[in-house]
Amino acid sequence: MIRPAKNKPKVASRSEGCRVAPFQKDDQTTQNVSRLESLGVFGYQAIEPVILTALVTRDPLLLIGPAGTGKTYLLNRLSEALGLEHRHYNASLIAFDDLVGFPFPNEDKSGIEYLQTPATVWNAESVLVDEINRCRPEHQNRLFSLIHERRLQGIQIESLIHRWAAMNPCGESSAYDPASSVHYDGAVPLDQALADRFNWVVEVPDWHHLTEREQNAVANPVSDALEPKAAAELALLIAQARTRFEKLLANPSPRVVKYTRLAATLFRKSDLRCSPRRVRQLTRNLLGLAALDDGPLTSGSAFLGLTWGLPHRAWGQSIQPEVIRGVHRTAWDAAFDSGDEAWLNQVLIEPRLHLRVRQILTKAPSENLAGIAVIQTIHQVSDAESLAFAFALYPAALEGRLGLSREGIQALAKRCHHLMDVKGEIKWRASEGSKVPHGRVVDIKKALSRCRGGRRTRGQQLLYGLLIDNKLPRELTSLEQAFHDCVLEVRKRLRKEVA
Amino acid sequence: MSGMQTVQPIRFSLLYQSSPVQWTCDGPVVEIVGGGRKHRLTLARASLIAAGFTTPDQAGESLAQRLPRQPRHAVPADEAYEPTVRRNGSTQRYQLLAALILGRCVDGVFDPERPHIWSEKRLSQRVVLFRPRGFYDQ
Repeated sequence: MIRPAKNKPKVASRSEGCRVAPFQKDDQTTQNVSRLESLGVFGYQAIEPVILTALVTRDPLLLIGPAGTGKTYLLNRLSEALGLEHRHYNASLIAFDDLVGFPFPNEDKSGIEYLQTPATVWNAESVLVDEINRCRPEHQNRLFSLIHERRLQGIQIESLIHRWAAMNPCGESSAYDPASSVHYDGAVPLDQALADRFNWVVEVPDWHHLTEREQNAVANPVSDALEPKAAAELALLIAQARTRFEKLLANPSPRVVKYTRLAATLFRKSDLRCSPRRVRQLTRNLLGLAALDDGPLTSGSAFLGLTWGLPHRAWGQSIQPEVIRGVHRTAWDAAFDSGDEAWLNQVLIEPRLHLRVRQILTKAPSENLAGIAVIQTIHQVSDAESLAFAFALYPAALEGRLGLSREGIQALAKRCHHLMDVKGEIKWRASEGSKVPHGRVVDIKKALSRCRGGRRTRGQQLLYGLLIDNKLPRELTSLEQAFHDCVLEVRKRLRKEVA
Repeated sequence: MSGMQTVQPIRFSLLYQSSPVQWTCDGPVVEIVGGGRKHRLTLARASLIAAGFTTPDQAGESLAQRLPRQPRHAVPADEAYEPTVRRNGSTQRYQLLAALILGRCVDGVFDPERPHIWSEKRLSQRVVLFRPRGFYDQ
């Protein structure tokens, strides 16, 4: 058995000190003093709810920012205010033995204990791993279990509550701050598995993001002694929010769960994959924000939660703010709107075409809404999908058998009218006397090789129509399958109607 | 780029070619024929008055039984396939019926619930109406 030696004297928290000038508030211009400002941390107001929520949920927090932006100062300050037994490690300098202590056999030689020093992690309540993206890969692996499970060398660190880390930006320029192009030698993208363990991955503001008041406060080198009253108020706030968070966690709002589920699905469409773990983390984050607000989740908090709840920045992938806004708007409307709008949003976020068709054909509240869903789908999905969707519905819609508005039928007709009679020609260069067919014709034949009868005929119309339009996608088998699935949904509806 | 330019015509049709999901041609080519070089609009108005109506709406209501009741897929008549499609005469009555259909053909669909809009452009169309039969059968 391996375990840390018990009953070692606790040591005072160790800090490397702040790397930026301490921020001081300017009372003359401050109307509503923020919690962080009352601790002497200025410029973080925009992300303050996120920082405080990380304290409430006790989930791992990673701050990303240029040197001197106060990341380390903030985290050390929080631990001081909350009276936590704190450890601050610089990942680029620390040796692993510094964390665990010197190993020695226990008295009965049945296991190993670690000789603790003021730097060892065993009694820590909060840990800050600074420069986490500058350490060697084997250290990253060891930090992984610390961040993820509060374990080191397989041993649970029972006292550990907060796991924080900080790093300089790496990779692409930040979407949050496209002007930033500073390069940090040795700063590498964080391993994705490690990054995914951080519930919060937050870019911190730089000098030019600060207001004049905040800049004045930061520039003022007044003593940064912590006010006990501010510290006590913060501790109380976090404790109360924690109680609310645990209640919310025991019975999470289905709408919040739905919101994160939909957001994750939508992010995927923008090449921002969210792991199942991440979706769960996002839900926790949002519940934490609601607990901090002491009320139902607001759209603003949810947006904040999405913005800083994605791990991609840690490995250098930029996230465009408009993508987050779009995802948030759609997911929020679908999860929190009611009635017709909720139904419509539900349809429009469904990524699988045939399931959209099913919802339109079986659950539309009205012909008008069904028509709107059809029109919006035609304009929302890719060219090939749009054509497949329209072609699958159009014949039955034309006969008035799908319960669509006239506008919906017209939109279908406009989109796929030419597919009933595909005419055109394809041109390519081939060696003289060669009878090798056009490469895409070969692809189409291959995709249709398993199809027979009507399915083959329909598929032919669709794929050759796309070929003539020069819109044939690379992957044909899945498109044909999606199209066929839509046809089956319509067929189901028609058979039900006959029955 | 080396090699010979190769051109391959592509034609796949649910309308004119025999296939498992071939659509049904619904009536003859719809066009306003006759009248020499007169505008189609002039011919249509003349046939409207000759039939005793004052507006296309009035004629449409009265002759509703003679017109398709459901929307139809309307495609420009294809000369290559016209021999397979029935032709019709140039009587004023037929001209009126053709005008009542063509005035409601938009974006390739004849819709009996659309308003009658008679314009030279619309009435100069030559279309064939199809019913989507058998599309989902197999």
